[in-house]
Amino acid sequence: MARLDTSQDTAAGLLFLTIALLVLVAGGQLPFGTPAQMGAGFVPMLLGTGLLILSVVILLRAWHQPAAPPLGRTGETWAWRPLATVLGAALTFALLVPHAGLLLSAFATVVIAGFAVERPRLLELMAFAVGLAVVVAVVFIGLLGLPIAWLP
Amino acid sequence: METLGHLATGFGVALTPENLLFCLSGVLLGTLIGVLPGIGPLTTVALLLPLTFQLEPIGALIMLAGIYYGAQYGGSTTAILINLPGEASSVVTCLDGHALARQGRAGAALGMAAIGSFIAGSIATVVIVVAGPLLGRIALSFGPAEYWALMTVGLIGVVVLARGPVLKALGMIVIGLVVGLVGTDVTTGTPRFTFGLPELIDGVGFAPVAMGLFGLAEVAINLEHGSARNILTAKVAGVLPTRDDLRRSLPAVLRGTALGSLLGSLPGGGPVLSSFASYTVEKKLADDPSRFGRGAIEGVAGPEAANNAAAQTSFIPLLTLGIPANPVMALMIGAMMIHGITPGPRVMTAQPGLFWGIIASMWIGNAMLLVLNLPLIGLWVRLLATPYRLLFPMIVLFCSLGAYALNNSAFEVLVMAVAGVAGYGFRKLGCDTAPLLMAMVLGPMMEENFRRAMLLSQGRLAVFVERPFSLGLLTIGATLLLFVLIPTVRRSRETAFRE
Repeated sequence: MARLDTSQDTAAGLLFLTIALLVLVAGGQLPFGTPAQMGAGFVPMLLGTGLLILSVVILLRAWHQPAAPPLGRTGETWAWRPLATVLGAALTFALLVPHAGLLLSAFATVVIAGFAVERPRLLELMAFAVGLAVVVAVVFIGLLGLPIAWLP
Repeated sequence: METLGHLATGFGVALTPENLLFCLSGVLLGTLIGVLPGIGPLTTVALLLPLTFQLEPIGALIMLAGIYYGAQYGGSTTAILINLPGEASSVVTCLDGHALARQGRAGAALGMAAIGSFIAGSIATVVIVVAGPLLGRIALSFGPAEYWALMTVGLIGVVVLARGPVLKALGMIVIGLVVGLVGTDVTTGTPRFTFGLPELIDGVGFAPVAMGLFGLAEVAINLEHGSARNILTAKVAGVLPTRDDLRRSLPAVLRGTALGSLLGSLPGGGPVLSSFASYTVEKKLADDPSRFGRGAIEGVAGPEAANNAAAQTSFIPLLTLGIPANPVMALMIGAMMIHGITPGPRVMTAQPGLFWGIIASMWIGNAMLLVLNLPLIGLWVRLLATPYRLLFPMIVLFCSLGAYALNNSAFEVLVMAVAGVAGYGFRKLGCDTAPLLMAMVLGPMMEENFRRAMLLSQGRLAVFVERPFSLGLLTIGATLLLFVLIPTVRRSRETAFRE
């Protein structure tokens, strides 16, 4: 069980390490400058180094203290369905709204997001999506004058 | 006398019919969205930000401030009625507020929260009136070294308050600073980390990032825990507290106000720290501490007063120094910049109408909250009964529309989606995302001041410890950091957060 508790720290450490390396690689290509005349790359390299050190400390602690008391909720699982549908809904909105107008894209976004739960109540969801799309379009285009089209 | 003159200017601006209307609609909308479970003030402000784009700067800021208080109050309502805090500062309100609600005294708890918030808001407004100009005058003597030190202390404050291990919070700060670097380097004009995308030349917008981290990621995480919740929809009767409630609560409200006013104005402080501090103080001072957690009215009144006072005084560093004390204030800075105002000590003298108008509208907004909320509580209760299966598609739509409306560009929605995935991932790895957002906003300002200070000192780091004010600030920061890194203190911090 102890390993499971620390795996969260290990994963976070590895993620930080990856980000640090990316920052150092990308920052290394920018002009570094001198402390008095810093180039664009000075602060990025500083931050990258800082994150690198931090990630190493986090990893070392995670491996050397397997019995450390767990912090936060342990045994987190990744639930793909909610994340994927929520993202899908947002991306659909981004793709649709410039072409299809607000009414249709709002409807589509709400319906797709609604599928994040296991058994969506289709009829209720559809009705709600229609109502919400109309309200949102009236408020944001009609009243507030956002420059978005109503329909395609 | 000078102060009275300023206040008169302020009320002159805030009391114009249209500004009153903006204040009212801000407070109403803020409460309306803030009362929805799982939506904290930060998300509410981010969601409603596009509403203010078309307004005059002063009207926009008055409305945003109203949205902020409204959301804060709405969060307390949710905490009391369904034991689900919209954000960290309402966690404490859950303890006794929900206990009171279960005893059928939700009305008294809600009423006392509103009254306590109003008293706190009024006093905090006076504090701003007195302290604002004072601090503004000091701030004019600040050089880049002082600014840099101040922001560093602010970020350390955020680390201290973050959920989870300190090292991870520090890591999140650095990542946030890196995200803040994206875009054109102001000093040399070199594009950094833009991957050749023209949309990134101006940097990553923090509003879409905030909505992704706190809107989308939050929804995805909430959905995993199922949508079954225990809602107290029983009638809320009698919002007026009894004489006994008032007697118990008044001292708590005053102490909470003092704590909140002080802690709220510190960078990195704010409502969360204040409400925790107030609850702890009240529990210590109580004749019978065992009542706490089982429906002690002063356990609601104190923290509620404290978080409202802090919400107000967190405007002090924003308006006088141009430094955000918490992520919500960071959004405010963004809003000011959209309207072409650069926050800082010069706003007060260059645009007195704006500065004092906002302050006057704070008091008006608080009065509106009190008057509106007591009769409207029934409506909020009914709103709370909205099932989550309908609520969350609405949140997703609002976030998407909000992000899109920022620049009329689908790119911002993409940024939000990426931030949503990142926020979800970080949360799964036990990393709090609030420090990332704070650092992202402070990052560009910190880099600019750091580089300027180093340029002036010809590359000597010692400049940060040679100037007394900067040295003092950095000493405070170092002490704070040492404290959280020492094991014993760390343990007590963890228990405090678990409570």
